[in-house]
Amino acid sequence: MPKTGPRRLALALLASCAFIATGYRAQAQTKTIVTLAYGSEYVFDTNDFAKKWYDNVKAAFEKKYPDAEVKLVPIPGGYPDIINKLSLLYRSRSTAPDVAQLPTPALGQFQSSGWLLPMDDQLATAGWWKEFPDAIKAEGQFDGKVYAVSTGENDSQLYYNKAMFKQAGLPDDWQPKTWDDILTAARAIKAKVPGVVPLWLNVGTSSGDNGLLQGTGNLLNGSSDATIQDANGKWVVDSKGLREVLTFVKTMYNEGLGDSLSDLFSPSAVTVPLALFQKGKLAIAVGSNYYGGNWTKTICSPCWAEAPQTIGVVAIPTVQGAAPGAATTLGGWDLAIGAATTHKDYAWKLLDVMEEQQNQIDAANWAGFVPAAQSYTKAASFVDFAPPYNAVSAQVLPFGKLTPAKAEYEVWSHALQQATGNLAQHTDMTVDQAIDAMKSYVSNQLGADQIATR
Amino acid sequence: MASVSFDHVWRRFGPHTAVADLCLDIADGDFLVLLGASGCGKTTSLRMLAGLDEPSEGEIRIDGRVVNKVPPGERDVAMVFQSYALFPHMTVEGNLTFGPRMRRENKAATRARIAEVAQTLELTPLLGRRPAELSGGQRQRVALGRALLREPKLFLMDEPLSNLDAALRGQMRAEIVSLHRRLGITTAYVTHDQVEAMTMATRIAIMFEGRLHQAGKPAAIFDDPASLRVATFIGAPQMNIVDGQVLQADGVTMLACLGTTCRPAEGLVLRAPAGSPVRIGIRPGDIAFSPPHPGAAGFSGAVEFLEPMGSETFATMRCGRETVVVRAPGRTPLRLGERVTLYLDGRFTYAFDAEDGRALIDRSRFGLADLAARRLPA
Amino acid sequence: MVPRKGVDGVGLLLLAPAGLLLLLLFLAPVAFAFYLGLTNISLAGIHAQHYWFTGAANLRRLSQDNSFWHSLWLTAVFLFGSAVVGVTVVGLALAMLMQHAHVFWQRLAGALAILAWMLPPVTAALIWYAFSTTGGTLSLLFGGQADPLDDHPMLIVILANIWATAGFSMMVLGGGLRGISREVLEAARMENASRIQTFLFVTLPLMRRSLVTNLLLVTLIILANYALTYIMTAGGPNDATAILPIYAYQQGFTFSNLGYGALIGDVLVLIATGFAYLYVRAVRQG
Repeated sequence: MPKTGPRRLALALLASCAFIATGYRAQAQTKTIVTLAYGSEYVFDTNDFAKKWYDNVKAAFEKKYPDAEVKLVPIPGGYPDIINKLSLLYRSRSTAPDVAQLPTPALGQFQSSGWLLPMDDQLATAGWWKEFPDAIKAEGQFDGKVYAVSTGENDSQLYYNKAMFKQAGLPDDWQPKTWDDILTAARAIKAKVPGVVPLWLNVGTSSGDNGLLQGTGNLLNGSSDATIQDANGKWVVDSKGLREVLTFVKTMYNEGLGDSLSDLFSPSAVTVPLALFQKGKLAIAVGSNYYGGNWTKTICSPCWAEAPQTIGVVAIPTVQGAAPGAATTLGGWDLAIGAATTHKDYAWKLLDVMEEQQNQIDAANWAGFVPAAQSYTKAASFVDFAPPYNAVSAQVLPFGKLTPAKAEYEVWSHALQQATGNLAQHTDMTVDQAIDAMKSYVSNQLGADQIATR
Repeated sequence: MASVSFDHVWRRFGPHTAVADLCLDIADGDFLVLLGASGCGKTTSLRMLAGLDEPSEGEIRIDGRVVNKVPPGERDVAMVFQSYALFPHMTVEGNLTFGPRMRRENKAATRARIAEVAQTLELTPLLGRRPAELSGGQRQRVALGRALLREPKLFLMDEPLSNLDAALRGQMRAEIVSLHRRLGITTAYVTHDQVEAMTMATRIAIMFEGRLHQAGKPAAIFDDPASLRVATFIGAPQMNIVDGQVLQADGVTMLACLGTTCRPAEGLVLRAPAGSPVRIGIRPGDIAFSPPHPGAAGFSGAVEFLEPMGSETFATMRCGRETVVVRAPGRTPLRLGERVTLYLDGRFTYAFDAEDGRALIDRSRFGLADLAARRLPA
Repeated sequence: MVPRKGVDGVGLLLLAPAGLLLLLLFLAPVAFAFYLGLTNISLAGIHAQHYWFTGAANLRRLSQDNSFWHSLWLTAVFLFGSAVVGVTVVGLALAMLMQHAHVFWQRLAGALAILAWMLPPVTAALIWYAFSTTGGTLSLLFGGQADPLDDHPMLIVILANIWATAGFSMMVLGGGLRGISREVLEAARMENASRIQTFLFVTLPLMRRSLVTNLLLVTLIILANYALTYIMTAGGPNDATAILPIYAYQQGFTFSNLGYGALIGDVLVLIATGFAYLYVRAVRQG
């Protein structure tokens, strides 16, 4: 979860100074320096957790390999800051990090820049890699080679308030099979439980692609046709799947089942449902896996240790209940070895330490991730960190679908954000109009020959 | 034509009193000069008369009508401002037309009158120019023209000549006076310049610190100042003021100062008991180098400083502890350091209360000519 | 010493380092930005390092980019609303209020307006965000459920910019008002002009220069202060407030098209230069 604040920034700066100082001392002793770049304020739930996790990794690695030393390169700021800074670091061989943590959606751009090293040979020997679901294995794969491996995923599920369900005459172990089941429940809530938001679904442009991943992207993945980029590399702007999603959004907001535009279009929209649930103002949410962890005493953002008694969790169904019966987006962070590294052995070894079970579970718990390796997701230290939520997010992870790792994807994503936002705001807008707008936007930005209709 | 009356007018700005209990009448056709140093309340009085400011207390009447609440435009008065207050973005013609335009006066008639006024004030060739392209005197004339165009029953002028150079000022003084004579419009004119007051006014009202000290004809104010302050304000160089005493000898009241004595002219009553300290005033022109009458007692002075003005010379003389300025002829034989004997003239020696400066000799019954003709006592 | 006119060879030599520095620090980056605007450089990806000059390709794209033209139109509306209508009118009203009101109100209004101007854009944006969304003060005025920021985003963003810049405007125009002689205004009153006539025929024409200067300065300030808008709406909802600076950012950093984003930035530089040129001319004319 993104966190900013001058105090944290100062801490991060101090920390980085300290590490740089350590790095210089190490140089004098001619140890091998392995640089590790990562977002120090955005990825983990708090800056303290980020520091703790990277300190642990550094200590574990240096203990295991006494002749090497990790030089941490923390990158403060939000998502764009991390991308921009990493791009700058990679541009020069002297600053290119040996190992870096990269966001999944940007992998394609970094890989196509020639900044990353394939690691198929080493992966063949790694036990954890074999446990990765195929979809997650694919996220760092380009032209048949693997350039990056997951270090934590975000997926999504349905959260619901059991007390409100009871009040509305709905089962408190809710098992929606189709999208209509979701709408039906929301309608019942609207009728029986006044003063609450029946259903939260992120729409609009204010949260960027992050909002899409935690919102309508999940529906698209559970629709009849989830294709974003077709086999010819063209961007799908009209499909049965897109129309199903947009119809759902239109129905939901036309019937007044959603939240106010102020909340939806707020720059911090993605955290709105967390607070609404805690205040007892929200019945159902399509939300990210990290909610449960955020409510725990450990993370406390917002603090709500009693959440499991009230808030139930269940997988997001597919549109008509078709197999596999659950849908989610995937988004997360990956580790990659820089192409410019002069000691790729140590880089791999560092990466391997980071992928160890305890480190991955710590990262998952402290940053609100689901670990990729299947045995890790079943470990008690993960499942019991935020029950029952973590178990469900682990269970739906294999059904996740990736978004295309292309720069142009952001344009397509922006167009869908606009379409959903417009439908939520303008109740007289039709799905056809929304599709037309999306079509013209993507074709304007990427060229008329780059769009496809299915 | 109009008469004006200030009736116990006060103007306060917070704790500060700008005008205190002003009672003043301006007769129809008068050219009244409000004279005083800056901050004395003369401009505030004028602005209240114009309607740009309102009395805190008291009434202002124009032709008997109370105008306290009447807006400036409806008082039928015209004002010439110190800065001329021409509209810088308009031509001379635009400046002149502005008022008639606002008053929606007949356009043809306005054009005719502008032509006439421009003719009178020699503005015709300047009608197309903007104020920035005019000299000070020309701007002054435009401001006058704007006021004239209105054909008001009352002219108000606020230091209209203070921004002009000396030569132009003299010329404009004459022009304004002749304009007043020709049109006979009642005029209230504010200035700090006593020369303007003396030369232009039919009446002068002298103000100090918000209070009217004396009002009257220029000669009366010069010859019979009601107070030490009025006496020293009017006349250049200033009236000499020295310490003195009232003496009583053989039933004759005398004034003693500068080591000599003099008797006030016959018929002048000195309202001070014998022995009391007074301030004696003598105008530089009233000190003589020869005895005004045989046997007159003189006093000695040493020439300390000479200011030759051409037609006259002002000599600063040291007389014991005191210093007096004496008017001498232009081509004076006086030399620095030279000691000469000087004489006072009992007709033109003034006495003021040492405490409050009030005049102690009542001269109201005598004019200048009267006094000059009066024989001096032996 | 009488200063010699003209510059001789030695003088030029001595000036050379300063000139060179100016060239390097100012002209070079601007020139480079214009060059980047005609390349295919991207934030990351294959064109991050290996980019090249693409001639008129970006320009061709710009000319056919509906989003760009829409954004240009939004920018015009935004600038017209906030600078021309808003800041000039509000600033003039404030400045006149400052002249005539009771000292207490003068000081209060002045202090508040200047405070609003001094606030960092982040703070101003957060204040306005809270003020104009559901549950905010403005929303309560319309019954509490209203959502002015999302229903009328451009209007609210314009109001926020006016709010943030009116203090500056007030100071500039206040200076202009003080430059008008009191006697000139009184002369108008003496000539039977009503308050409105005095304002229309005397005050306004005399304020012309201040008004023009202020308008141009405020336009430049508001163009530069797009952070206020960005933080309030990020260009949304649905690009309703995506003025040029925001669209340039979106292209460069969200869509990774650094080169194209730079070109949009260049358009902005040209617009700002146009305003700056007019400003310099207006000031010179005096």
